[in-house]
Amino acid sequence: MANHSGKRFPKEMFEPAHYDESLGEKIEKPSLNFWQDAWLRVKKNKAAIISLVLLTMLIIMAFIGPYLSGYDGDVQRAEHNNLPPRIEAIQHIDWLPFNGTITNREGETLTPYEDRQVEESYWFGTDQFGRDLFTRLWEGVQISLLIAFLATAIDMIFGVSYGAISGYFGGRVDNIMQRIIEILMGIPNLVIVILLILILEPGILSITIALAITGWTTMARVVRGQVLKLKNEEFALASKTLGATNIRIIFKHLMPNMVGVIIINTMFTIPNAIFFEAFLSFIGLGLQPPDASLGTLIESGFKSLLLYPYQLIIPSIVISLLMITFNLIADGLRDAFDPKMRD
Amino acid sequence: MGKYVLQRIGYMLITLFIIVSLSYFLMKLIPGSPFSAAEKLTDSQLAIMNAKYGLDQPVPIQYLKYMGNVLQGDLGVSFQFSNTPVTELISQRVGPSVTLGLQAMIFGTIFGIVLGVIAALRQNTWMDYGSTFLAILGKSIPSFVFAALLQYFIAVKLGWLPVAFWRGFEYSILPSIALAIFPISIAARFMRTEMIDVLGSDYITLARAKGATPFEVAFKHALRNALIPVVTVLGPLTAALMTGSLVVEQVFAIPGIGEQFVTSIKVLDHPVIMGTTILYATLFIVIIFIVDILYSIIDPRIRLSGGNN
Repeated sequence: MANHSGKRFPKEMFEPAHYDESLGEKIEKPSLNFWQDAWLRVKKNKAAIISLVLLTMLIIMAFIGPYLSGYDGDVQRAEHNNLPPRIEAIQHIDWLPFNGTITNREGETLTPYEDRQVEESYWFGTDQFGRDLFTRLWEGVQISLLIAFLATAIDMIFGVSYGAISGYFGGRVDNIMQRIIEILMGIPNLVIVILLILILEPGILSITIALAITGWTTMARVVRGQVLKLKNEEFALASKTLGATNIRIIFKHLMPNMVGVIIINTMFTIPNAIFFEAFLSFIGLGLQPPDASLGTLIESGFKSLLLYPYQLIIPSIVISLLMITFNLIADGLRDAFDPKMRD
Repeated sequence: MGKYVLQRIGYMLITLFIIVSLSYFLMKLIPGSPFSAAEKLTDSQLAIMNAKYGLDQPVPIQYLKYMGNVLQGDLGVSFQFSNTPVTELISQRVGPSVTLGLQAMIFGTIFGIVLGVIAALRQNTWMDYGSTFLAILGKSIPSFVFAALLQYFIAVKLGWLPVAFWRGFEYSILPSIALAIFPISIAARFMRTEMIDVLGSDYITLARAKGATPFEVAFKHALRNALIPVVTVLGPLTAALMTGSLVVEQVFAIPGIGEQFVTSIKVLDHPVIMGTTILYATLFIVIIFIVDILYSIIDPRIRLSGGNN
């Protein structure tokens, strides 16, 4: 509170302000469309922005990473197996784990590069077959992302169509379609995914299909809820009166109003798919060698955890980063698109 | 209410029937038989083995027989462990899994609730951000990655706890923590929201006006109501714990159901795969059912409807 007492307020200060009626309707700020408005709100969320930058870097690395180190991820060199990470530029900084040394279980520091007279440096080390882990890591990220994006896209297309049809047509159609979803949601995803993978034989396509088949129900339910709400709005009625077909009303008029919800749901599905892919690989149902995904790298890293921990730790960090950034971006988008949906 | 419960039980039975049938036929579609990989058998030996386990009959007949047996509580015998009944195999291994699951669930929800309450009471301070950050980490880091890292750093490097196996309470600590990170993060996030919501309501203002201490307001008045919706996340948590237990039991070499399930998948031990599937599905469905009923009992504002309203 300002200091009131003792201050003199001259009379001029209390003159009525000049009011120009023509400016009454003037819009002070440029009007924003849906996307600009959402972006404005996402921008305020520091965690989401940092995640977006990090994620973009990870995705770029997934594409250029395999070509950076100059080694082919599939070439096996037995004489270079299980070499620890070494980056020449920073190898003399002792506290960084990139000096090409490794500590064995008795606590002795080994220098396999010098012992085996290896001239090259492997930035993230090599695996048991002497393959460059830097190249394999980014190839793995590429494949994991591919599986996640594919599965999510199928999820989205199927879930949105199913939900929209169920909600829009209502009545008996809705009743039957919802009962089907209820039963599907009662089935633990895990069981179906595993059985499907066994039938289709592990591979990129079968993992994608298994993830897509089990993942669309949430999306369908959310979209149905939205459609139920929106289909009775005036604009839908107006369009109907003008003779628009059902398909046109759903996709042209209802869909744009659901974009936010659909995007939010998709963003939460992607990390889920990344997790399930890694999970399947870890229990031995993932990609078959020599293909690498984050899951298979973690699985083989785990097998040699005691001797060569870097083989597990590096892919673990990358998968955690991917999951964290996706989750944070999804959180940010949720707050931005639909402030009511904040949890 | 009674009508609703009956209807739900009806749905549960239908769901279970569909799951069992679906898994049965899916399993029959899996290429390769349990005997094709294990040993090199001659055709006649293979025929004898198939006849012994009833695999020479048409699939529909096998299915009917199997369903008949399941109704009588007989899940068949394992291919892998010669002639051990599946029910026996499973019951031997239920112990560690249940212990692990319960420990993770109890530790996870309690710790998560505490984190969430702290975050809500100290909203927008470093404590709030810290707990939110922990929640994001717990939700994001896959349980098996976390389990492997825990095993390496806590057990191998520091030597504080046993590395693996199942020989007593201290062996269960690390796997329980690894499993608990997901419940922690979910409970914490949920609790924070609910608590902030409740703290803004009129009766809390009244309690403050009456002169209740902040401690009393938070724990005597607010916490009770904020806890109600947390019950709803128990369903998804159960599913997550089941998934997690598969890999965490692998990592720590714990003789639980998850570990057995993974092994049976690898050797195509059909009866064990089916038995475990049925167990998982039943558990999942029953827990979701209990959660729904519990929710309507403790929160009278929730009205369960019979579906055809």
